[in-house]
Amino acid sequence: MKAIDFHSIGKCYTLKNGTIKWAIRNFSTSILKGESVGIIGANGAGKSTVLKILAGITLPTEGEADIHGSFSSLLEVGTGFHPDLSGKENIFLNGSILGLSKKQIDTQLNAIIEFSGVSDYIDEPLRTYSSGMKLRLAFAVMAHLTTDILALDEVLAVGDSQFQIQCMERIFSLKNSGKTILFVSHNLSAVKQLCDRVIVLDKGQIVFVGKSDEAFSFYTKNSRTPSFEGSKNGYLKAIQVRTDEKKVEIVLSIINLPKDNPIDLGVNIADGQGNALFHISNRFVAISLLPKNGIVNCLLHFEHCLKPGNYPINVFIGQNNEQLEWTEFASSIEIAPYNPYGFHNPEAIQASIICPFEITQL
Amino acid sequence: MFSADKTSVNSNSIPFPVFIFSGIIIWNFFTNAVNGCVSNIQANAGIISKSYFPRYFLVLSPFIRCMLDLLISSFLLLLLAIFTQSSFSNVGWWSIPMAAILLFLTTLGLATIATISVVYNRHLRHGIPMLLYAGLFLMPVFHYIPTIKFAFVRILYQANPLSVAIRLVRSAFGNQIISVPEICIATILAFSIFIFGIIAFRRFENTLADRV
Repeated sequence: MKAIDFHSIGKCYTLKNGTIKWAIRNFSTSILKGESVGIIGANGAGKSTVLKILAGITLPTEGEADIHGSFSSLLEVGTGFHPDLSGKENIFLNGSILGLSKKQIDTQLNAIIEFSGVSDYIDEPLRTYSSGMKLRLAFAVMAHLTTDILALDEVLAVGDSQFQIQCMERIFSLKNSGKTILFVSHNLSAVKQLCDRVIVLDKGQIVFVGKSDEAFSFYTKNSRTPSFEGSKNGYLKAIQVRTDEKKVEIVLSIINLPKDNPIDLGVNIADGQGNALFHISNRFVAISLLPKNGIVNCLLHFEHCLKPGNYPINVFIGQNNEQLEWTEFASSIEIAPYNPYGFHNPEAIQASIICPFEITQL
Repeated sequence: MFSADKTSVNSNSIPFPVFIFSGIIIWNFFTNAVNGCVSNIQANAGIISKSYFPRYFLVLSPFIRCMLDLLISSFLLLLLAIFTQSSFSNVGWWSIPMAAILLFLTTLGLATIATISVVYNRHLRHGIPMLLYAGLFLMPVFHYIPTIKFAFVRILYQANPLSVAIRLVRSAFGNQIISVPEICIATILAFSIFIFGIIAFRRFENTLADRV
């Protein structure tokens, strides 16, 4: 049984200067009943456009989508919330925008309030809520939708980790109850946990459809980091990053050094939020790097201790205690989703780095 | 301009307060509805681009709100008419419903057209209140129809649905004279504006989420 049929959907926009941009084109696939399908891709790949077309918010320029069963889409958390209405009234407002009837909301009202965790404030006007409370309320409504097919866009990008776990568990129970879920996210590990099948989009085209593992390796291999074209002062010529399960290797090629004196090389690994995680330098380990004709090529590697994600690399080059070069975001380390802890829900563990450890019972 | 009319109002036809108030409530309804629709579509841009619902609600909801306002002020007009001991002419039984039809069709049509034009060009939203304000002086809200030399301008002025609606309401409280051709032209105009508004809206609602 098919839940959704896409017949070569295309959506184009005409820009002010007359050029035609296809946000999505030749998007054809079908989604079976009870299946969870993820859509991943870089920004501007057309993921949200697919959901908007499916939800009927915009019409496709060509092709059509058939939906078999009741459908609701959640493109934004808390659509239509009104600040002057109370929490309870907003449940009704938001619920009806999402396609619940008043009767359905009435029967589930207590469950929704309980799930939201803001029951003490449910009669207060929404403007007095903190942003987290609004979010909880909105998700609580969403979690009690009774439609057969759900389209979710980046719903888990918000909220504290405790609430994210709660949301994820809820989505799982929806999935297990036989609902069809279409899930758009940048959070690859959430997609991996939830989805049976993943569609990879690039510039409005389907470039891969398959099992989530294969799709991720395809996606990370093909997601191009902007190519590095030499540093500002011209000393760092190239940087390459290689990763495997055991280690991370960084190959640097430094040129145009003014003298053939030993250089100081520092490589700084940061996380997605820009926090420096650790620093690798030849000075710490007293290894001298001696240029030949102003050129140094070197390989540095460290044990793979990173969780899935993207880690920018900053490079420092100095000579005779003087800074020659400080390049931020020279490259980045891309770690594909995997389960570093072997734990059922690795997302819940808030740690940046994995370090080897042992536990002995005393 | 406002005070000058007091002398021109024929005292045995309609009391001055009733004359002014009937003009103001109709004009207020019209401007509030048009402005309300224009600002409503911008205020709800977030919902429009994130969820689907029948788009005509965006125009209908401010319109219905203004209708309720009009209902309340009509009641006040009635009180005012009783208080000033206006004569209630027999024409009222058909002239007031007729005025309501003309007013609602024209307002809905023009509000829709204004809304569409603002979505297509954001800058127009500063122009629309100005146009409406100019209309306050162009329509016979505060004064009687002046004598206009050019026949075409005169017909447009006298027979446009809004001015006919105002005069129809007034005719219920005194012996205002409206000719049948004026009512016919006004009716045709009102229906044309309304139908044009609907056609334009149907063409436009599908691309609304992309433009708003």
